[in-house]
Amino acid sequence: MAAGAALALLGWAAQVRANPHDTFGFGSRSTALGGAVAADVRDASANYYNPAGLARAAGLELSVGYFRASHHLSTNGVDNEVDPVKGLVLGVVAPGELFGLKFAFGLGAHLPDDRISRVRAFRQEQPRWELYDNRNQRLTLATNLAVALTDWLEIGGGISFMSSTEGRLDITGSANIFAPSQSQLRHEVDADLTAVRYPLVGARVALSDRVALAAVYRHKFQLGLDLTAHLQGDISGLTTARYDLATSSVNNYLPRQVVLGGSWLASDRVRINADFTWHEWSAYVAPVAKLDVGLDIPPPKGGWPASISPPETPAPLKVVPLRMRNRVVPHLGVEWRAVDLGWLRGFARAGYELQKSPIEAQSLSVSYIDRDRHTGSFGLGVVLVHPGALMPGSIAFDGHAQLSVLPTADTLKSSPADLVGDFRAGGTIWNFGGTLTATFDGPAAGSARPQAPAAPGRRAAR
Amino acid sequence: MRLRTGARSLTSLTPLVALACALACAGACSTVGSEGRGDVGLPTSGVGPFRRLASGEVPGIAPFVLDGEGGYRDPAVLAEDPGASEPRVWLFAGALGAGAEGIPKGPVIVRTFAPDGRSFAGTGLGPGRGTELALAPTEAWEGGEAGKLGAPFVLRVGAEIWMFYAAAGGIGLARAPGPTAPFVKDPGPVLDARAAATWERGAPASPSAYVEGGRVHLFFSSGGFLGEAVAEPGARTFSRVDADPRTPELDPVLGPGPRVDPKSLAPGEKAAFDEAGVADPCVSVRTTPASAARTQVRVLYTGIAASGASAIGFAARYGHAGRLTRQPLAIYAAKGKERAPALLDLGERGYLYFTEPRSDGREGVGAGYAPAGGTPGPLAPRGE
Repeated sequence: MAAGAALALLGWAAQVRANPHDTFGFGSRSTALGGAVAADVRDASANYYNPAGLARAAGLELSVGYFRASHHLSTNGVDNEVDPVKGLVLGVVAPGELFGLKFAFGLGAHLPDDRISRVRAFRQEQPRWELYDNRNQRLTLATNLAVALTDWLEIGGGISFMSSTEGRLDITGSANIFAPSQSQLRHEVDADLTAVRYPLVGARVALSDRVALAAVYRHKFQLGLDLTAHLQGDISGLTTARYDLATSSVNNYLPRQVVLGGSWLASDRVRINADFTWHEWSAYVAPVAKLDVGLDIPPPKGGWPASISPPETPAPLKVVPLRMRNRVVPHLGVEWRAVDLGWLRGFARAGYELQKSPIEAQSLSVSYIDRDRHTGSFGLGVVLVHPGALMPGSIAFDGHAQLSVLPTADTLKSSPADLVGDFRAGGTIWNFGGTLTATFDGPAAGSARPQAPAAPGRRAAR
Repeated sequence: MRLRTGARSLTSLTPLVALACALACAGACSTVGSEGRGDVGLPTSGVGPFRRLASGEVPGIAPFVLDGEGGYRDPAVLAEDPGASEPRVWLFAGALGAGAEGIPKGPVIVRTFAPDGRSFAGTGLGPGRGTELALAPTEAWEGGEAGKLGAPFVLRVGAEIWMFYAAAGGIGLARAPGPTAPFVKDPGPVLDARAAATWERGAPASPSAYVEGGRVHLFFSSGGFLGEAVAEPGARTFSRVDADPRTPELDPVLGPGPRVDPKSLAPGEKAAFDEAGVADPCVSVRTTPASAARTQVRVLYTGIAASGASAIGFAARYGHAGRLTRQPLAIYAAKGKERAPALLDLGERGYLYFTEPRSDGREGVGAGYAPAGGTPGPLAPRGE
């Protein structure tokens, strides 16, 4: 019965996600716990998992980390060489008191070390690993505020930032098609990166000394790429050509998400967490560029020379819709305080996620490749409490290793004349990283045991 | 309002802040983006879309890989080693002999070789100079000097090389022990106009074939349609097969694309590239790489638009019987005059050979390459 219920739950579970934090986690502790930390986060990763957790910070906290996620995704046994996602993870948590209430400001960022952001627009027929190929290649920045309204309730919220792209390209002048080097063309490029903001709110409720619940809402966002091009000029004295191109596409669509999480301190040394995240994938916008083309090349007097075939206006693109299903993803995490010497604490962590693919079977002319994703994670953490006079708080180092397995499966095309044809796809993703955290003015974060009161009168459960 | 982060802590922050700043700067210094990958080895049916070969990718004038006084046309290709990934290939083509260089006058079939899929011996020259005579009309049914011998299609059958070819009276078959050996013709056509379907016009032409076990499937074109005939094991002639047994007529495997009222087209929208007719089949068979391992019969063909423009299309079916399903998009369209495709499938890449008129009016054999974003290797040194 229990096994059946578990299977039913896993079958209901879902998804492969969108930004680097969705897919690979934020911070080594939270990543090692399978992302199941909505009700058990108090470090800088709360900027992503649950901003309410910032209010639980024991003191000023600075963290810096690095991770690298290497894809080994293949089709028909050939590695498609999907780029790795890697970069710095930075976090700041600054707690304080305001009108007698504990509050905190948090900042979290992922700084890729290859590029700030990448936007690519493929032909819609080109196969691609839709959720891994491009969407995680971007910088993220989140700022949040949190406040503890009572000793059992914290709330928090903030905004995340990204940039969309608008650009214009003008080329004017004269083109000599018989002697291209003698062409006189003037180029003008104007590109803007426009900030996109989307909100994130969360709450955490401590039900007892050992049990807490949390709820988080992340709003959707999308990165747009809007480009216009204008070409106008004389062609070798034969005629005057005009070409106007406007293209608009959406990259990196991030669906709305709702998280319900719980944390249970099963013993003084063991904590068990579970989160369930709902993703509104059905609102996904296909990353296909919509083209609007205007072409005007009147024939010269006497008609075109026999050797010249004037181009024709391209046919408008018929976008094949990308159908996706809403999904719920379960996250499970266990943390064991294996060592506690007072000045030194050691932790072992493990986590699991099941992310069923939201993309429906790709039997038609487009091939957005995706597979169910089973993610297991493991991590170790060490905390030095009051390591010296310069550090009145603690220093923690957490490391994580995460393996995602995407079982190989077939995609069968309904049309035998499909240009892609049937294929097999699957693979693995390895993710390694570490986070160094310095906490000032308070006890160490990340402990599995009940925390000491953060302020007079607060319950130990917090 | 009081921040608990006091001066005592701030003094102790200095080393850590410095470390964080240094790491952040190190990361920021490397944010010059690379182009990115992720599109390597993508799945494909092996039939394009192809792009036109450019100058520098062929020895002569792009996209021609075999042209000259003979007016080379209707290519067929045969890989030297069917399992190799290198494009060492024999090419057979129709040409017009001038009665010199060992080539008789009139329509003939010549052969040549390229170690790189592009540097064919004899390009730029007439038949017999770099190219060799493979077949000439000798039988009455072939029509002689005034006939239409040509449109070869070659394939390996066991230890033999079979060449199907078109002539005035239908489709003939010649066999040889190797691609350079003399071909010996079967007596009479293996498929002619007898027992033709209602949609056929004249003798069947443009043969292309594959072997299923012991059965040989022969595709041909006639009247703007593609038909199929089958020879059972041991049989010397082919019998037409019905692509749709549910109807009483003898149906073709492929007909012209759907006709639409031009007034119903959106601005910029084009009618089907093959709405006026289909011809020149080139068949190849593969097993799909999925675990279902379906047999996919692939046919490239010439699509003819109402305007008379032509392009190369693709149609296919799963299994060895039935109609072909057409791909709505042409897999190669450049000048509107390409026809008679031949495919060299090398797995992740491939060459498409086709007939295209040169600026002087003669026809030549041009080539395209897939994937369209890729580049073929360097040209073979002259003389290899």
